[in-house]
Amino acid sequence: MTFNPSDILTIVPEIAVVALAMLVILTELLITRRETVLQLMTVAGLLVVMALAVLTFDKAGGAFNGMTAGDGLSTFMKALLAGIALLAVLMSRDYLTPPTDAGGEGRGVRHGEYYGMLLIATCGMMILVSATDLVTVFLGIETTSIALYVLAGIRSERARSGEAALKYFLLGAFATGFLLYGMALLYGATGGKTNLTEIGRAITDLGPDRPVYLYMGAGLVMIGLMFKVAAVPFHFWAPDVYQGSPTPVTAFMSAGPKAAALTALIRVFAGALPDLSAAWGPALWVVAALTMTLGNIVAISQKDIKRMLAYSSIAHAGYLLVGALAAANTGTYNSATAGIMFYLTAYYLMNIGAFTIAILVSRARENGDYQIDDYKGMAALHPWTSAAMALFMISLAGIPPTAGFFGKLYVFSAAVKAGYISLVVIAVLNSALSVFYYLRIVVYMYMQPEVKPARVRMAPAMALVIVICALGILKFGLLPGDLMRWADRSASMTVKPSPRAAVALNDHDQ
Amino acid sequence: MSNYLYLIPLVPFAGFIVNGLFGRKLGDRAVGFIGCTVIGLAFVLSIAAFVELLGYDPYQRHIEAEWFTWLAAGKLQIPFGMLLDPLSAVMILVVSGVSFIIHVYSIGYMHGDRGYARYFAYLNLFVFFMLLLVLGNSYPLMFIGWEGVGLCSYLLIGFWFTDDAKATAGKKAFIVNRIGDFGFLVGVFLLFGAFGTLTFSGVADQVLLWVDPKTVFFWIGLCLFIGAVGKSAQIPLYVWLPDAMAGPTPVSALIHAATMVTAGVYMVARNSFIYVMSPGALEIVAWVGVATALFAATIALVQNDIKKVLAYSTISQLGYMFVGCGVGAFAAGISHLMTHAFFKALLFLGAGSVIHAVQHAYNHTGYTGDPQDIRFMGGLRGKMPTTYWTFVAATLAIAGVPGLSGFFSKDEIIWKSFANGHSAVGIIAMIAALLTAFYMFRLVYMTFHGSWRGRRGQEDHLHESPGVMTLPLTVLGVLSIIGGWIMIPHALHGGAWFEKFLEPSFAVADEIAPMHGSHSLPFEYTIMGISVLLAISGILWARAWYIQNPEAPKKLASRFKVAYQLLLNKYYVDEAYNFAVVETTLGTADGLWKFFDVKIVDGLVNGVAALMGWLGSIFRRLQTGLVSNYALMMTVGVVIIIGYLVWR
Repeated sequence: MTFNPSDILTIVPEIAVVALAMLVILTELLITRRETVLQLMTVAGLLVVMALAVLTFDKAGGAFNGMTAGDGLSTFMKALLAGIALLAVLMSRDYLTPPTDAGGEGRGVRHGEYYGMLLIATCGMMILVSATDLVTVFLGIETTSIALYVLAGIRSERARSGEAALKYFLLGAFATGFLLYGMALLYGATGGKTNLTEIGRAITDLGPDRPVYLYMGAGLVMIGLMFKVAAVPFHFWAPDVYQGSPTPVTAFMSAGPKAAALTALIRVFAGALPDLSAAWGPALWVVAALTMTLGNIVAISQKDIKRMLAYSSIAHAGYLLVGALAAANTGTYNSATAGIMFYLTAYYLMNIGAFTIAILVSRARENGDYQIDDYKGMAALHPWTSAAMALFMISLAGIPPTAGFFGKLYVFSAAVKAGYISLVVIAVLNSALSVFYYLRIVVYMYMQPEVKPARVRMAPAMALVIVICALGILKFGLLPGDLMRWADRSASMTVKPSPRAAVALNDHDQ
Repeated sequence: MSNYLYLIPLVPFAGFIVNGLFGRKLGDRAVGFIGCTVIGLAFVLSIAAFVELLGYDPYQRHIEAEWFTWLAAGKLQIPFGMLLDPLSAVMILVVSGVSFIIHVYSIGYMHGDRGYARYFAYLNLFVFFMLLLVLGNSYPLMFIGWEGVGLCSYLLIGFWFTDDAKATAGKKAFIVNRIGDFGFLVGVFLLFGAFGTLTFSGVADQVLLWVDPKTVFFWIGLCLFIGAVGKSAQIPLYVWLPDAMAGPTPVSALIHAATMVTAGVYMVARNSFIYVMSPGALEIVAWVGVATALFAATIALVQNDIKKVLAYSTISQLGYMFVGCGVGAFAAGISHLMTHAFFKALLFLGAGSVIHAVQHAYNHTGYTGDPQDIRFMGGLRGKMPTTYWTFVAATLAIAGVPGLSGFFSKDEIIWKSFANGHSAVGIIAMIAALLTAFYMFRLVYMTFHGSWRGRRGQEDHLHESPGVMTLPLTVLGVLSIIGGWIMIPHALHGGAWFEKFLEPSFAVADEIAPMHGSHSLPFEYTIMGISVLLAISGILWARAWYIQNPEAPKKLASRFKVAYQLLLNKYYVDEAYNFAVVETTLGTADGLWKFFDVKIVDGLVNGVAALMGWLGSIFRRLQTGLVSNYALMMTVGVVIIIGYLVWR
């Protein structure tokens, strides 16, 4: 147990984010006319964090005696998380300070606190993506969760916001209980190990006679992480919380924690527990299939776009779990992990873009509703906004030439290579199903007569977010090469599951 | 070299972006200026690339600049790269050069049109796709350009989309081209299946080492040729081109004469190494080409719409280019592509100038007739001297009068047909050449000679077009005359420089199947002599009928009424297609729609949707909003998962 000062380098992004959070909160106390300053500060700070995350890319390897890893996977994810926070901050300000006639939505929120919480959640997620020890996994999850509970309820004047926060907190606490219990069982079963690599080694050393509570531990940890990813049947919190939370927070929540928890899932299950994959593989298989199917089916019958996007987010978690399953196979670890990274980047862009337009349309309504009917005939009045929304929907549906298509392509082809053919068939059928509700928005915008004209007033920051998302989706949809190469390189520079633990998973396809 | 090659298509694309996004705010002058400047820049860059290419040894003139890997999925690796070799160098020069001239002309022609910015944006986009098509180093990139020019042509034909007939013409072009594109795509799939790579040089390398049966080349060649038939308006897919004349005349000049329609010829030439592996496919190319050349020429004999005559003439000339490729003389095909780009662009622009003037005269006299009907023209020679003289130059060129550009390229094709043992093809091509000389001079005589046959008083309002339109005519006129001088054959003590320059591009084809054509000089002189004789007889024939004895054609028409009507109505091909394809398809489609679609597919889809909706409403009921219910559900999940793990 030694402390190596250079280890600090691997957590520079986390340190920077926390410093930024404190700076923002303090600045709010010190200066007047602070909204613009605070937002600019946060945006600039996050850009620096992103740069730092990319710059620390080459410092691969474990740090802090194996508590965290500064490897390709973590740096890619840190950059992605900073990007998610960046767009969430950009879309937040106009949401928090609405135009005077728009019913006072978001009033009474202190911007500094809001940005601070957002940044702390980001820091928690950054810890989570680099965690290579059960303790740091837990630390990351809790730091993220507590900040998110606050963010969900930050609009305290609205009952729904409070309700969302309370539900999220209660169910989150419940899930954390399972997670902790599972960790304790793993600790016990492996003879007092918390480091993921050591756990993997200990399980291999155990040989065929493994105690039952080892399996229970693995199962409970999986359940804890499934809750964070919002996988069926641990997803019930998601639609209510997504709908009740301030919309920028929803956008942030549906992209960030999913990315972070999925990374943790890969690290724990593909990294430490591949020996047990014969046991948890089928369980994850079923969960993935259920998650995407249920998410898509229920999304079809939604009338509120926030709820629709919430269920769509559940469905996407299901697709990503297919990738996570493929990552547990040593042979396809790289391609599956890289595919997940690509997918998450694409998902983040299209999802945040869609939520941004949802905010704009809702702001044009007096009651601030999120009805899907509001999109009818929008194209005639707002050709550019409608075109962007159509792009986001097409990408979410996974139709080329968009980033969403390549995300699915990479993840599913890795899963096919790993032998999960029937699961991929289910996933593709689900994608086809999802086209129905995504394209419904497009059809409403372009082919339906206008019911109540919604005069969308574009704010510069919102426009910027939409442009970034749209350009990103087109860039990665037309020229996916660069991002894929970066993802591939990142995946190959990951603290990998030990080769000893390689188990042929091909026979688990049922 | 590699560092600016990709700029050649990108600069016009920038023009499209600027004109498309801000065109209406910039004003017409700025739009025209930007539109022309970007194409001019592309032309300058093309010249630079060409000059640089000349600096290499002839067989080193193959520069591939791979910009990045565009797509990588398993075995499929598609680079985004440009290929500069003599073939593509010629193409970019012709495309950007002729486009530039036509852009300048458009400033005058489209002056005052409401969609001025939109027009230039589309035109720039078209040039971008066309340059991508000829510069791309792989089939997929070529296909993107291919589809892109199709799209732009659709947008430009239907440019005045308020006019229903024009919008329909646009649709027709689009749909007919789809058939061809399908063939192209199948060909590309076959290529990938056979070679596992989709770059031109990658495929060419493998063709050289090919030992398996060669049947696959026949099918690839045939499928690709179907694509070429669609794009280059050959039998049986030529029907879209005459209708496409509905677009603005400069568009006809650019897209339907000089650039897009030649894409099929370029594609066949680019794939010379595929075609030489399959003599059968080449035979088809040659015969379709020569059949089209003759067929379209006969229709052009009796058409009365100035642009329709030129449209059928274009189809006919494209047929010649395919004859060149089909008899293995790819360089001859490309030579004719180039000279044709000059004189046909000029003919269209000249026709545009005439239509412009006639329309102007009609407007002044409050007359609403068809300004394109040559039966009501005549005597324009004195009114529009520049238009007249340039038009005559182009007509002489297309008729194959010795010394002008068209003579060298067309004669080369006819000679190579005989030399490479396709005498039947050569004879038909000669007959078509006779008809070409006739119908082109008929057009000149009816339009420019004699006296005005329109309403009285209209002729006073006929004026020469503005300088921005006549200057392009003059430039093209010069090119139509001298453009062929770089291809003077050895038989006439020329250097055949153009053919030699193109040679390296067909080196692989030449290595696989060297053409041991006849080199008999007397034979060549004989063929050449007959060609010249035919051209001159055609001209004299037209003169006899339309200047000296104008009653003769009318008499003949009434005597051979059936034949005349058959030609006038273009062999009723449109009607036959309409009956055989469109009506039948619609009928079948209607039946299918009523039974299969409504009952079965809709039933299924609606059934699935209803089922999903029902399931959704069931599952949605689980979402009670009560935390305790959620916790219970989670617990059930936990129990199932843990239970499974423990009692597995």
